[in-house]
Amino acid sequence: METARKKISPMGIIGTVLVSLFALICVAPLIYMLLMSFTQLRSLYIRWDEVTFNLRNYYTIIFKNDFGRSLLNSIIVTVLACVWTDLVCAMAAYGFEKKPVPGKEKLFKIFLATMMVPSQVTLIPLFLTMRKIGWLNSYAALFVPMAGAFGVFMIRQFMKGVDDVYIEAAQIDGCPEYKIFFKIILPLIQPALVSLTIFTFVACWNSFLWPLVANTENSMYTFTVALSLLNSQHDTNYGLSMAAATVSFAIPFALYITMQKQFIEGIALGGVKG
Amino acid sequence: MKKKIALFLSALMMFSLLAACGSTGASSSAAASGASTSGSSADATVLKVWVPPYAGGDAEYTDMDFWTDQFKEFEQENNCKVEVSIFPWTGYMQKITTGMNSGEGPDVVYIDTLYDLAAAGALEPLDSYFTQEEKDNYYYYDIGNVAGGQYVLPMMVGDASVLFCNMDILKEAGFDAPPANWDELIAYSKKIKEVRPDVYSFIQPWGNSSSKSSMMTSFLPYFWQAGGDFLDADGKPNLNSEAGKTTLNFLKSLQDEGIFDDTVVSVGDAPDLFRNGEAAMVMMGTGMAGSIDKAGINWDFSTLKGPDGQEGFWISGDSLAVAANSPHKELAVKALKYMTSAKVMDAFHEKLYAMTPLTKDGAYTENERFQKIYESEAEIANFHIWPGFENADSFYDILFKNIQSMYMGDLTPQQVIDNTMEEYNAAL
Amino acid sequence: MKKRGLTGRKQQAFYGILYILPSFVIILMFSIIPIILAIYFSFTKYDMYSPAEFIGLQNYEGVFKSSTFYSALWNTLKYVIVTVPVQTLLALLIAVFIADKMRGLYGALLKSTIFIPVIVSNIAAAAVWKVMLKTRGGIINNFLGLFGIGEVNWLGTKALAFLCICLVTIWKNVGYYMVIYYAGVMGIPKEQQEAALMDGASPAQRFWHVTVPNLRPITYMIVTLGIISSFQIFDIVYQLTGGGPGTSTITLAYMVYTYAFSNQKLGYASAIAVILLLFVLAIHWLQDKVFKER
Repeated sequence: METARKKISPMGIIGTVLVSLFALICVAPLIYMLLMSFTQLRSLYIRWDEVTFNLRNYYTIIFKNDFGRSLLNSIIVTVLACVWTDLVCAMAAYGFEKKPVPGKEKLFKIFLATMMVPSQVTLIPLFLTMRKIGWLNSYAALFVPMAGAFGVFMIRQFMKGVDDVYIEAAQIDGCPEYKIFFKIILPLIQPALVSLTIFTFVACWNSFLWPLVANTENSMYTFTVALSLLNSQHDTNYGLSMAAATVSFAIPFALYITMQKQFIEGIALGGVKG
Repeated sequence: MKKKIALFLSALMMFSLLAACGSTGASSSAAASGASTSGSSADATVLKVWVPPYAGGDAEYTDMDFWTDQFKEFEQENNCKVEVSIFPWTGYMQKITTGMNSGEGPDVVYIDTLYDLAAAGALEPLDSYFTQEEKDNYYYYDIGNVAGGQYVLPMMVGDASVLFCNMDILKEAGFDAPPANWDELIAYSKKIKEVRPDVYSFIQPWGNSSSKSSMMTSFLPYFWQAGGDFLDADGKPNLNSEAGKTTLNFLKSLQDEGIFDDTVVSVGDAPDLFRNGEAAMVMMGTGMAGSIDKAGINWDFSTLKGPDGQEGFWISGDSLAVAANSPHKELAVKALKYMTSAKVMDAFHEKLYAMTPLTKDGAYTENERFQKIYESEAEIANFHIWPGFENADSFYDILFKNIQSMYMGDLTPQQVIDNTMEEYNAAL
Repeated sequence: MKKRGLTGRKQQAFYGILYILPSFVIILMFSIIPIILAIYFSFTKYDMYSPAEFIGLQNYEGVFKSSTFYSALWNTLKYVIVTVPVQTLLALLIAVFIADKMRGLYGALLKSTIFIPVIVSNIAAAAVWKVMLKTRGGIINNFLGLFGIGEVNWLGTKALAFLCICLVTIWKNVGYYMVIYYAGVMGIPKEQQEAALMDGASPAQRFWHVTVPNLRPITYMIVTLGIISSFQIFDIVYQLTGGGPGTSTITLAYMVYTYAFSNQKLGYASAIAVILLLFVLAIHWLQDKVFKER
């Protein structure tokens, strides 16, 4: 390994350049988005030399349309969704992977199948279900359904790499079941929980149609819904839309930056086992 | 011990479910307290009004400010509380559809596509609530008669589709006035293309990702100018008519004559091209005049005539309606009349979005060049809003995609008609 | 203390059920019941306002008569066939390369950067790409213009529009799969790599005979997730091309959306969705077979 790293092979150089280029392509659109967010473009035929840059769009976003309230709503819903999803999915994954539940593989297949239905088609039935149980206009309607099959699937994949000896040892020591889960399993699958947190956060934060449909009160707007109010039908300030996109991207991005060490390296340390 | 654990786990689950329910309770009580602290007496009727935003995203004055101010007087007069909700344009119809089914829906609601709602009986017929005198005061009352009844009152009427011309470019090509009819449009376009090959002579946005916005400027006006009735006697759309064939042949001829090139199916924003002086002639809504003035274009417009001298305009007819399940219909109609009164609409046109007046006592604040069409009975007779019929949006989407295919050389005009009708009927 | 049977399978099974129960209740309430409702609606005429009216197989007959449906089906399959292998392979190559040659800070930086598109919302991503792909004045064409390449009609040509949808999808997904692969590569036992080195295996041989087989479970997972998400591609199509030009980029999920939401044709939309579901299940089953045979 060491020798391979020190030798500078032409393959290595080409590879480095290609991967760097790809990374550049990954962020270029976002840089472009950021640049545009400082403008008040009314047309997309951009002549950059004529464009003036200022912070007006950000001012508009922060001081209008219940910025604070909708931000708070989104943060509450997203945090609840993350905690809830981690807990529920970790429990289920543990049950599926480590417990001899009869018929569990069949049930797991059904879980997986629910991932295969596009959300466009379940939205109205979901709305009807929520109406039936009276959850419309509540935070619950927004975060409870987030704990879906994807999380169970993802954590279960990871749980396969958790050696049974830890559990058996704890059981021999007379450790009560709930302690095994909270004190042994949860710490062991922490990297997977971090990844799931990020995914849940991103999915919940970015969701638009469901929060729009599930809530009828202005005070329940989530951040994405409130931001979409900035799009008027007839007069588009593209800069403003880009600023809105930038602001709503900034928050998951900040989370990602602070957690990425745990996130990326965490997965590596634990090792994803099939 | 086992039992304890089981208890613990079920307690945990119960707790999570309770937490979920708890937040429901919390939010509804918050809403209740919000209503009671609003100053009006506790037993005041609450009227819910749902509208989309009209102020520009970066305007100082928001829609919420506007309606809150305007409704103050109404609330006092009627001892009620008006709760206005502004919903984004994106997903607006989904919001309305689900909202009106939620049991917490609006009393007064702004709608842009009304057929499905009206046909399903979700809207209250309004005709009996209006006196003849009131009806006569509205310029466009009759436009709201769609789907076999007066289910709505048009509110945002205007933005009639007219042909805007860049007169500087037209003069360069030797024309002093905009083309008056289709033949002149083709002749002018060809001439302009020779003189100014660097600009689009005449362009239509067939690459718009919203099929409806292309339809309203690039298909429907021509269809009506060709003298067609979009709906047959049963209220079903019928393209397979003389007008349908004439229109599609005309659209195809624009490409055959070399006026459109291959990129026409990716041109998304024709108004942008016009504002930038990159297109000489574009059909678009009169509401664009303001931004075109701002861009410093020397423009004029034409109310284009079809082969038989017929005029035809697409016009926006977004309307207000009263929900059939509203518990306070009388009051809701009152609010609807209040919202469309000259006083409120004049303020709306001044502060939020300029449009032509709805009522004969309203002030005309739009570009005065258009006054002659908006206040002329003869022209108003040629105004058409979206034809209302079952499954309309899919129909437009299918037709739009088929016209794109025609421009890519995959379909003939007749095939566009046949494919569209076949596809549309399959979904019914 | 009472002796708890370590082998008390019944007891363990009971715990297992308790662990699974909360997620089962949620998935039942908010996924399975809505799906069953949707399947039921697919046999009815339903618009939300009036009660669903049973009409048997009429919706399905309508779907099979619609030529757009066949375009959408074919396009959807093409998306899956193009995006899944490309993004999987790209993610694998990048992950292996970074794990192998770029263990330093720069590699970590690249890794983090490539992941960023994953956290952008589909809608925002498509909106930015749309601006960049504009035929006139789009930054991509401006850039190509520097090399003397004329205006490319990205979203107005059938093949290119389709390609753009695929590229944006791949752009959005590679980071996620790459991170998972990276974790997998790091988890390959060192001894195997070293043993292969001792045997004088070339880098390509090591890749094929050590890395790839070790990553098979991960590949299985990535391909599964990729197939599921590619079958449901919607936001990007909706924003970027609206299914056009013609029907060249229309997908089944897009069709479901237009019928379900623009027109409240919930029965018809559900019928398309059920067919889509059957296709995903069939492909998933095929994929399972292929992976097991190896």
